[in-house]
Amino acid sequence: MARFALDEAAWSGPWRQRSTAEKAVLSMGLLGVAATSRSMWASLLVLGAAVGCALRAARVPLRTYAVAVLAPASFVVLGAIPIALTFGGSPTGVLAQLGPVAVTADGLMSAGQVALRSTAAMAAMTLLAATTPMVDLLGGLRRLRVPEALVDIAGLVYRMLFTLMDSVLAVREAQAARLGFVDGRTARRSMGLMGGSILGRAWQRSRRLEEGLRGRGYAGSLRTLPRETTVSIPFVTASGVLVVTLAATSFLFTLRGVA
Amino acid sequence: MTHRTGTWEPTEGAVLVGEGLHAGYPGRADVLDCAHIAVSSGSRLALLGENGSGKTTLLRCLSGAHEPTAGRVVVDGIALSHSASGLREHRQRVQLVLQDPDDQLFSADVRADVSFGPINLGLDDAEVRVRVAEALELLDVTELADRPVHQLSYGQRKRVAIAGAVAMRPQVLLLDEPTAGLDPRAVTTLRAALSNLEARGTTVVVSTHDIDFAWEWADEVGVVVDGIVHQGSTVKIMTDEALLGRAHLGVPWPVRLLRSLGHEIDVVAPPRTVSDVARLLG
Repeated sequence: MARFALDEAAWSGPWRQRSTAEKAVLSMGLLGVAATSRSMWASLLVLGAAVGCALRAARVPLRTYAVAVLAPASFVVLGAIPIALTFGGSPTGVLAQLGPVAVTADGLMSAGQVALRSTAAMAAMTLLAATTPMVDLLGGLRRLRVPEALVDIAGLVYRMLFTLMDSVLAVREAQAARLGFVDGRTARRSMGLMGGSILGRAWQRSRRLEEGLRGRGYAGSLRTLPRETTVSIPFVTASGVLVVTLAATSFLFTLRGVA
Repeated sequence: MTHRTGTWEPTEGAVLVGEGLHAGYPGRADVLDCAHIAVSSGSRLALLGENGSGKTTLLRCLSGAHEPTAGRVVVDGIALSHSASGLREHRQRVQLVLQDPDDQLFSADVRADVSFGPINLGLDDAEVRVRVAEALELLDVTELADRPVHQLSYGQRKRVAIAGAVAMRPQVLLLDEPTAGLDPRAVTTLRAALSNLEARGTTVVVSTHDIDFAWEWADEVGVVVDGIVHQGSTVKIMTDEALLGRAHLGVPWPVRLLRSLGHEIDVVAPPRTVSDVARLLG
């Protein structure tokens, strides 16, 4: 059975029963502060707050959370490299130079700020993703009046992802048992065959699923009963205090020119 | 017995009837060739037949999912119309649960998936919640309600899929191969769930390859062979070795054992379980 660590953490964590709204207040608040901060220290504080909430309060496994944040962070680091570089001209505060390409202190600081701000923002978003199952997020989108068709499609994709992954794993195992990945050429052929097979299966399954849904009165909408949760005022208050404190600190750092 | 020729009358008290059904798929000969079937209210009917014999097609015809090329389906004296309103009406009375639960479970949330049918009936949220809770309890899956569908075992997913149909409170529940792929423990749990449904007055029709399950569970059996249904009491049909042989089915183990020991099968109180057989031999 296909499993995704982040998904499992969201379904099994202690914050599973919390309402999506209250977790969104915390996560989006942190995201907002991270995105608007002009100070590396403020970004660091947001990052620390997000990590602390995820690991201590929401008990998200460290490895799961770290992988979820660091995997996209590697793209951020790659994206920040050009910011650190200066091309041509006569830059000041050069730390290193190779031909027309120079690394300056200002460039390095800007790149660090961007990377840290992005990582803090991702940590804040991952806090929501690691504590809220997709079905609850989709329920939240439905309440926010996001077009029903989009929410329905997202829900189906999420559900079918697991059945499709099960098929992929089963086919791959069967191919591997018959030496289907013994060398590069065979592996490419096996992958191609698997792609064709999975596509066919997905198509057939979608037809049968539609029949199953029609049997239960499907007429174009996949509306289901929303989950009943109550918003915890203490949680929202605590989240608000944390976010406002971080925002004020960030503003203060900006005013005082703290890097 | 049901014959291709001659007149056929459904049994009295039949809640669901398929009369002279012809059905098939493009490019193939008809799978059902003038098949008759009558489902009596409150009875346990098992449909047997080899792969490709037409069991699933028959269930799909009875549920309205497949429109027969000839013949008709009647529920409570009202002929099924394949118009949108006719199907809507029919599906409140007859529900089909497909063999593979993943063909039915579209939501990752158990409770949400079970609520889908009642919501489509236009019920208010309070009534939907009542029905969902009732269906989950009947199928003994209440404790799974907050778990994601993709983390459930195959047997659990089957019971959740059945709960989704049960939440619509149908008169007749059609189950396509409900025991296929289940381990013995899951079969026992499923049987307990079926008993709960029957106790609540739901008529259950099961298609299966499991002849021992059919022998033990069913009041009536329909063997689908050569496009028609041979229907009768369990003991009558399942001791007919010639018919079962034509359908490439075996004989239930108590029948095989007792016959090999020279015993006659009691048609009034047939031995269905190990303890019944032990008592007989005892």
